[in-house]
Amino acid sequence: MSLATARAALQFGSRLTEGSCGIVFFGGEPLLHKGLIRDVVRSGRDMEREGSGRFHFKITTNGLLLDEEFLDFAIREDVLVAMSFDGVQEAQDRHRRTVDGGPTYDLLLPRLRLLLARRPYASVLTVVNPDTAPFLARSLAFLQALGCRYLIVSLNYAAAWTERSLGVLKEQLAELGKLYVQWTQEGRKFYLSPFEVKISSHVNRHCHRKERCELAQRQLSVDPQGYLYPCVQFTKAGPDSAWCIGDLASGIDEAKRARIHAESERVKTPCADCAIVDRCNNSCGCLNWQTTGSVHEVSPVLCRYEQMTLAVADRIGKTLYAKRDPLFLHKHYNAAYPVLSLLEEAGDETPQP
Amino acid sequence: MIPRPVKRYRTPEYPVRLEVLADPDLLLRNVPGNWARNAVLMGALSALLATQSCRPAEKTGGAVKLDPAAVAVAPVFEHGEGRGSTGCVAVAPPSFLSEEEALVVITEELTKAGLEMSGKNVVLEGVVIPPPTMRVRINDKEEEVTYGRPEPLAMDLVDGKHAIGVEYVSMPDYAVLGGGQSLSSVQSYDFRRVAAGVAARVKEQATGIRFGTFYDPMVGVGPDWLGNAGNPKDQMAAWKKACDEAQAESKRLLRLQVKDFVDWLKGQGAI
Ligand code: SF4
Ligand code: SF4
Repeated sequence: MSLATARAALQFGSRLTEGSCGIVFFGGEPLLHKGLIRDVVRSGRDMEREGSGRFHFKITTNGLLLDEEFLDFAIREDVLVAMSFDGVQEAQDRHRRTVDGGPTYDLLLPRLRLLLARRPYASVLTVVNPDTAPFLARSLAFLQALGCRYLIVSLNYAAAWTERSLGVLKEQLAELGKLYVQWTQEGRKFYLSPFEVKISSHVNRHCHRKERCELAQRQLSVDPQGYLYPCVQFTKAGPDSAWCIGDLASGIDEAKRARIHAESERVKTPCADCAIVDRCNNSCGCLNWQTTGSVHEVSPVLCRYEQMTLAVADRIGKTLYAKRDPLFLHKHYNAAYPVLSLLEEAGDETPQP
Repeated sequence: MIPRPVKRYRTPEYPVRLEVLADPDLLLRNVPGNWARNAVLMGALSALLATQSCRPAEKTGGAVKLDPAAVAVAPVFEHGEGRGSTGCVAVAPPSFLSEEEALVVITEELTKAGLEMSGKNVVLEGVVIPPPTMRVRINDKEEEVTYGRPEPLAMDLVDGKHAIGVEYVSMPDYAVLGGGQSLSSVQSYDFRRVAAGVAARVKEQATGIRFGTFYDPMVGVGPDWLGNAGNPKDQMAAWKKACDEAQAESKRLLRLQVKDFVDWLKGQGAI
């Protein structure tokens, strides 16, 4: 992507957004273009000074090119950096290899430590494959012990999952649920997805559905040529596909956008009668399209994963509520918890009269 | 492998948020150990819990009959300053008019005008109140942070037959309805501004309702409340008398707000 296209994207985004417009850099590996990222962020900050936009920026990196210099820049310019790391060595080295096929655990662990030292709240993304599922609980315990507080677990839905590997995954999720309970009782502060979202889908039942993603409504992806898509995976389909909904120069084709949105909103065939449909993450158009080729068909693996995680999350909720665990209560029922937690960590710096 | 719907799922054995907020003491009784040792944090916690008052969206007065032609929002009728501060710099302590007492006054006046305000806490479809904000100092920077989530507006009282709804902006409502929250020991209030904000939001987002917004006139206890009272018993009595007078004055001013609203409804041909 050229800087001119990126700047046009910033202007486009700020016109569409009332508040602060979120800009996420996607790759491949975004840090291959550190120079461009710096220029884009600076352009955004210049626009803010001129009063022509407000932005927040985020990057997810594999960590290979993460260094002190880039972190200095990210901290100075308030860019959130998340890193992918799959946990213990057996898991990390299974799929995350260098271009020449070498392992990455020893290479990347110091980078993860560096990131956490500079940004203790950085998110760490762990992807689970059938052959890394047996290490899931151990991997997350390892990351937690390392100091990672925001742990995001997701599944490689497109992998060749079998009944057997799903069985292993189920056991591991149950183990992870026990760790969640243990860490909470020990007073440790952490965020562990997908359990947090699942607990919230019950606790905030009255508004949970309102927060779900609405394809082509609130997010847009811009490809290097400046074409627009409803979300990141669709950029692969290219500008001639039905998924391209316009370009930066001529704007959004509202008819196409509305059609894609309507299609993604259709009730997914098996879900209409499902007792947990309101708490299921079956609405990610990107994921559905990637795994089934249609935005309104759900992947059977997603279906199974949703059922497994929900059961574990509700077990966690039951156990910790029965004990009236203070951290659990405030994390999930006190809407001001993030602020209070921040204040706790910032020390006594509240404004004094 | 194919997706298989779940036929039955047991209700989880932990409560939803509104159930817990109905007993705010639960959160005050069970605080993480580190918080309990931090006085500032405990002060902030009580203040923030007060702003998360539970406003269940139940409909006790039947559904609001939506008449698209009826969209009209009354201006905020100004009777009472509605401004003041609490905390260590507040010389004349304010006296708040509670939601319960205010709703009695409002119901009385609207009943006299022939309305039946039997709907309580009725959600006004389409009107969303953004999450509350507050200013905090983090790493030497003062920042406005948002907490909580956007919530639908639940009108305090509704006459379903005439599609008339009203909202009273009380002290516990203040932060939730857009007044902002202070974490220092001083909290300033400007109820009139918050009421005007609610009215503007309803005007922008609602359909099918005639809507009125009232606010706490916030009559303060005058600085000379002590008079000549010398001993503690007399001082207590003087304080109570001053508070009662402030409350009576607040009720009188609120009644004037409601009367103006009734005149406005008549002008609209709604009653
Ligand atoms: S990835 Fe899925 S959930 Fe996220 S914005 Fe895209 S479509 Fe929505
Ligand atoms: S669990 Fe499966 S069937 Fe039920 S809503 Fe989710 S994807 Fe659909």
